[in-house]
Amino acid sequence: MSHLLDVENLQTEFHTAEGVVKAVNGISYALNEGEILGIVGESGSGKSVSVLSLLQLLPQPPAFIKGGTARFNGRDLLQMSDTEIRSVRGNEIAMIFQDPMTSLNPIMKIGKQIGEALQLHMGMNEADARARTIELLNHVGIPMAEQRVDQYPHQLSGGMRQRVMIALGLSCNPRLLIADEPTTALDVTIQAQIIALVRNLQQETGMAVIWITHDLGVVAGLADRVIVMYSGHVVEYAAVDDLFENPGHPYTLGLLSSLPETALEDSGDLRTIRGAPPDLAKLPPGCPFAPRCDYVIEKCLAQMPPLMAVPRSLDSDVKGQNDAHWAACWVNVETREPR
Amino acid sequence: MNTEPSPAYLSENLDEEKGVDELVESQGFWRTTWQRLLRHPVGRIGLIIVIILVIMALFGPYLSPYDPNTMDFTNRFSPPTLEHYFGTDDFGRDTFSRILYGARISLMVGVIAVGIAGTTGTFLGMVSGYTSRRWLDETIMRGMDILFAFPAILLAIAILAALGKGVANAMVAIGLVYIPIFARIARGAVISVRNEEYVKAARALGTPNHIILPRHLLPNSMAPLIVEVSLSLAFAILAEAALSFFGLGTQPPDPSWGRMLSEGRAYFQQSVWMALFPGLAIMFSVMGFNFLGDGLRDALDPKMKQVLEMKHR
Repeated sequence: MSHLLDVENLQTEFHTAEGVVKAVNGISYALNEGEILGIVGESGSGKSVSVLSLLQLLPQPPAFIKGGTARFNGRDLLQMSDTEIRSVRGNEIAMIFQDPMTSLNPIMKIGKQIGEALQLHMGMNEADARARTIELLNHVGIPMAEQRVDQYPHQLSGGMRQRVMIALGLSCNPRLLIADEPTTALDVTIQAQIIALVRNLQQETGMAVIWITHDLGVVAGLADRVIVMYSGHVVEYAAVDDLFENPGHPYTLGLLSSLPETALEDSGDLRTIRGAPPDLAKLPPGCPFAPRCDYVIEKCLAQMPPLMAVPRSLDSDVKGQNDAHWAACWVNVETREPR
Repeated sequence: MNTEPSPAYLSENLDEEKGVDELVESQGFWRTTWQRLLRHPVGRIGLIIVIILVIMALFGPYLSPYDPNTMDFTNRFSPPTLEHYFGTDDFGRDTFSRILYGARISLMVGVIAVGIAGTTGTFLGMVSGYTSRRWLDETIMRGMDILFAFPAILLAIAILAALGKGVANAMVAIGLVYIPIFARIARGAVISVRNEEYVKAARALGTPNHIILPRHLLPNSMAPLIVEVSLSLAFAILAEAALSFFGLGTQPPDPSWGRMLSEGRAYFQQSVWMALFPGLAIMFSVMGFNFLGDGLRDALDPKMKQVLEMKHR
């Protein structure tokens, strides 16, 4: 079965006065139709840059896509001309952003903003676009859509605005929705609603979703598969259950044990990962996580490990390797032995 | 897609977001700004002066007691009287009527010159600020720097020397001189808006640049430009007066404040009103547009807005 999106060896750099900042260092992943992929990582791990690269939304220069391919429906997004990529944006791949407070034009009525996309991509006239906008607003759970459509963004709460953003993203029935930390700026109860909304809409429309977040809890509740990123590398790639039950990378392990909910339950001890992420302009030759890692061996400092299939947990009934679970680490974190 | 929202995710959200059911009355940005301007003490004075000027310009012919160009040699150098409120000049023409007609010329020159400068400058500045092509930005802005390097009035005089004197050319000259100011302001405003999330979001939705520029960038860059329009009108009126003073702008016998000032200068010691009243007219209109500009700046500046609200609470 061919994938909806096939990213291979994507490399993005920023050429700055301080030198070349390697934000994304050869990441690869595949996404099936209707799949929800979570991308997890801390600030500066290259999560956002990797998806912005796909849509050619980074300002070039200073950004520079050094290599790789991103096949969407068989066509390489990275090689598309301005006109081609513009017809993909919004139409086939839609993106919603982190801060609903600033993602809407403050002096344009929300109906106008959604209508603009409809008129642009679907060739609708103004009346049709308005009717469809009201339909969409209803659909994302905005009450009194007929009145809301003529309101300005500042008249809506944060959660409502994120719903408007989602309506905007969905307006042209995209096959892939990229959500860049869409719940980070919202409070927890609203977060849960937005997640439920996206999950419902995903099931209804069958679109694929890439959900970027630094919140493992969100990923647990939403994603089918997860990518963990660190310093522009994919360090672990797994089905969501595998990731939580049998983390294959020390960084993932560190993230999990620094989650207040799980860590306090398990050991009563909330751990942090010591140190700070490396400067992306001066990456060490080996594994970028090595300086902070408790499992570090000599090989780690010399050579970046490739993604390797992770052995199944010792507790697991099935023995051997798990072909759908990959981690970039020289060490088996469960046995602490090199692999 | 069905229009009925699934109750599963609709029902749970309403209690959480308080006040959702009270639809706030739609109040546009411009209406708020207008109200703030009216509450701004200096801005209000500016607005009143500008309104008076506009009335003078529009209805001057109906308000003026005499024809501005009719000479009356029996009544030369009349001091201000009940027949001639502002006196008469060396040809016996009524200064009050000439000032009313002069308002029309001053305002027309101002509006057209600022129109030229505003549209051209804003367009160039926005392109310069938004483009990712460095050479285009550099070419436009260095061109603007060259224009900007000359003293404004001197450049206008030079342009008039090339184009020939006359009120139409004066408009063009003043307009050209003011292009760089608008270009710089528009560029700065666009640069600060261009990285806003909503511009990114519009691009992520595939909106082409020729729609992003006028629909998203221009309206959100408008505030400093509007202020500049008001301040530039003051400059343009002053510039027209100066050019006419030198005999390059409005040609006789059409009444122009600058030329009246120039003519009155010769008789200043015996009939001070000949120069005084056109001078006052220039001063008040420049002041009016400057005040209005100040008021607009404060009304449009969000930080200042809060201060104003505190004051008037």
